[in-house]
Amino acid sequence: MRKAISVLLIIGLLSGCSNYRELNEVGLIIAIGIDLPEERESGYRVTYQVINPSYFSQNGSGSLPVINYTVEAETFIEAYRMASVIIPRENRVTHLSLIIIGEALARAGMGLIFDVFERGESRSTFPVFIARDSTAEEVLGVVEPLESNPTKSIISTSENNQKMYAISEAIPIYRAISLLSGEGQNLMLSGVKLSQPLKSENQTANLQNIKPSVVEVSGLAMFKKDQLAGWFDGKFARTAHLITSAVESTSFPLACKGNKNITITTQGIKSDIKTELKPEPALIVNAKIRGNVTELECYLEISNNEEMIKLEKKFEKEAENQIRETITKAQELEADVFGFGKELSKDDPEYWKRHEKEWNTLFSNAEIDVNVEANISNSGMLTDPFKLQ
Amino acid sequence: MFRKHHSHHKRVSKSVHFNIQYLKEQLGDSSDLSVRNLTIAELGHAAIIHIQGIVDEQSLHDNVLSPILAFIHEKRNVHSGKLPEEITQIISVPKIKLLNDWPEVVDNLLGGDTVILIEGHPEAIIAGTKKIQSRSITEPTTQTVIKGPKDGFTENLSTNISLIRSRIQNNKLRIEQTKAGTVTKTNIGILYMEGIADKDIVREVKLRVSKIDIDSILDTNYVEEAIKDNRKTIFPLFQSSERPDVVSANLLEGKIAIIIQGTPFALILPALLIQFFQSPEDYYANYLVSSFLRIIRIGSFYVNMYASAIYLALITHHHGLIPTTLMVTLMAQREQVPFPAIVELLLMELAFEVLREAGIRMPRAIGPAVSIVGALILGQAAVEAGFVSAAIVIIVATTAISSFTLPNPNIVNAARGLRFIFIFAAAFIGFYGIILVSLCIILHLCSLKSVGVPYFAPFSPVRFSDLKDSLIRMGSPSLLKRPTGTNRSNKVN
Repeated sequence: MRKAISVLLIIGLLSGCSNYRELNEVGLIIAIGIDLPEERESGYRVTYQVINPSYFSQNGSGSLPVINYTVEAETFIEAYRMASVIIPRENRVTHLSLIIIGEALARAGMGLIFDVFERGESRSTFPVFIARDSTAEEVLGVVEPLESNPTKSIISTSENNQKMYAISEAIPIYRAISLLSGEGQNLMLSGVKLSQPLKSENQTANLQNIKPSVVEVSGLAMFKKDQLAGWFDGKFARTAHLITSAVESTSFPLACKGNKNITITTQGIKSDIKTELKPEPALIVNAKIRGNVTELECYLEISNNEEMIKLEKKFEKEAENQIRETITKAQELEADVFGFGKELSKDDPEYWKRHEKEWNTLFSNAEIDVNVEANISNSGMLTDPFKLQ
Repeated sequence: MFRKHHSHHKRVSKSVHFNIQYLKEQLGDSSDLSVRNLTIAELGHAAIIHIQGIVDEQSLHDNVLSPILAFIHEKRNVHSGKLPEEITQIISVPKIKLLNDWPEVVDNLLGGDTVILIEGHPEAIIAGTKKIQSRSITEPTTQTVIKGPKDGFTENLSTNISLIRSRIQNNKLRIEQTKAGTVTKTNIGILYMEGIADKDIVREVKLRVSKIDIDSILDTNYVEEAIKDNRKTIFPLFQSSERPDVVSANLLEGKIAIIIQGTPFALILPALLIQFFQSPEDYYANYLVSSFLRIIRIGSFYVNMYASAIYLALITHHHGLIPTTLMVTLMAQREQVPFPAIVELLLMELAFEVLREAGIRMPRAIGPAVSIVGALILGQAAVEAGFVSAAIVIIVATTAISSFTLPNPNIVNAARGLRFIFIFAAAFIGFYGIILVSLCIILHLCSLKSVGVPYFAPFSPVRFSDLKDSLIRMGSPSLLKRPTGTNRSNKVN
């Protein structure tokens, strides 16, 4: 009897641990877009992308996979709670997997907006992107045919590009926070935009178009503190990632004759950056690149070792130039997005302490010393190309 | 069934007529009681009594009746005072004795022996003509193996003992027969290996068996329930097997077997939890394969207990732990289901239990019909109609199939019971509940003992040398030593 009573008591007390929610009572938010408000002075315009489960069930054709709900409010939590005025189910952020920030908001300064994501019950491993030249609301508003929902298409386009060319890199929110709060390195976030504006409001029309409006990764946003300062584009974005060793594989066309090119596909890139004082700071990049010849447009006897060494030298020079140009671009904006300052603060903390405040100026005036060591190891299934007769 | 029954003691009288009357009275003038009256020379009246159907008629005729009739014809001059002794000399059955205690005589008569009464002698001659009908030795139905011995126990005690004797031809094999059940007076054989089995455990088992005080024993479970250490536990504390090879192997490990007349299941004790995951086939196949299969079995035991509870905890409490893509699929499936997840799960679990129970009892001829109805209605129509989600059907089916991998039905029943506790705990507080119940079960397992031997050994208390034949089975050179749990007296080093 006493046993039974104590068991009942324990069960009663344990009921506080319950967190019971049926699957068909929750609205799963998979992405959040944040923009400057349109209807109010301050606060945010937040777009919640919520999964529409009935689309995925057997008889769910006709609806769309996700529904976007846009709310404006003073703060995030306010918006999250306010969203209940339009979202019919209890919204949950446990599966949140993407944050998009509108360019206008990023330029105005993001402040501490990531705080709420680390503080709350969502994971903090999902990536953050900037909606380039547009709003987050717009970027999240397109369903493209190849992926089941906009969130997935943004993430997978970015991941795919990171693997194939490396303009884009998915920066998880915890890294963005540590870059924003750390010293000596500024934040870089990848940009996304729509490849073309939606032709009609009707999403199914887009799905049936052979050349639909899709998500496009575009450039790399450089931040000064929490404000977007400028963009790296195309090749420069790729090279910026090369400097931070974030490139898996990419391609380098080298001019050979006229407007013909030799293309080197890189396999492994490892670069070291540091700042030397001589006595003014100099930015040093030592990169090691391994690559293969994957395309030859002009006749070159690459079976000849000397030709190969010449090619490697050419490749090194090209890479060095690109790295130099990319750093120069960052210097123009006084945004040390590669972490030269961070390296300096580790190597010479005393100097760093004295010059921390003026680092941006020091950075933009610093000399650049780039040293690339290239190694071309393979030329595919062919050695010399065929000859045109 | 378990009521006590007492009979008063009485002695055999000198008068044959009176004795027959007494016997008829005792047996309620039963129609299968056969009495044959004889006159032995001038020495007087005699009667040969047996019960039809349980005696060996051939043996009765050849070994009892014929010698006695021949004796009468010879009309030898015998001193009447020694007639019973003379008769025992001429009767040629292997087992013969003189009794004068009525209850004992009646017991023997009911056991299939023939009773010979002679006028003027207050003694009954008991001739062993017992022949109990039994089926022939067939393949065991509960613990089948692909490779290995195919014979199984029958309902006949002496056949069963012979199956073990033929495997262990050793003078150290001890077989002690006793009777239990105040009404049924069932023969019970206690088997062990002298010198291997622990003496204290043997003494304890004998003591417990001698203290059994119930009316009837019709199956090993009657004995098991009467002598087990903890009556409240859901776990089987003794192993039961209808395989003589399993019993022999266990005897050789120092365990004790209890064999009962009338059931093909022998009881093996003490038993450890890990034993219920060991199939006899483990020892008849390559040890690497056996180890793999044993891990599969233990894994499916866990699946059987936990799968539905974990699923329930995930979809009701811990949405964040499900990968997003799977989450979307599950949400899509749950969209149209009208019941809460717990109701849905219990519906399907119970439906399966009903099907399973029906499967045992339904006539074989309509088996296919029931399985089609079960598969189609539960598997397909219920999902299509939106009663339950497809995921639940998958979970319940996985649970059901995994329960059939275990070689012992008793442990499956334990898992079945615990599964429902886990489901309720999961619905209540999610993983926290599952872990809480798991801890309680582990504590309970650690507290259990089977005839004084820790049930959860060799894991707790840890016995390193026995771990070689627990979750996995090592090759035979490392299994030369006997398990340390059940025999302490005769260790092989």
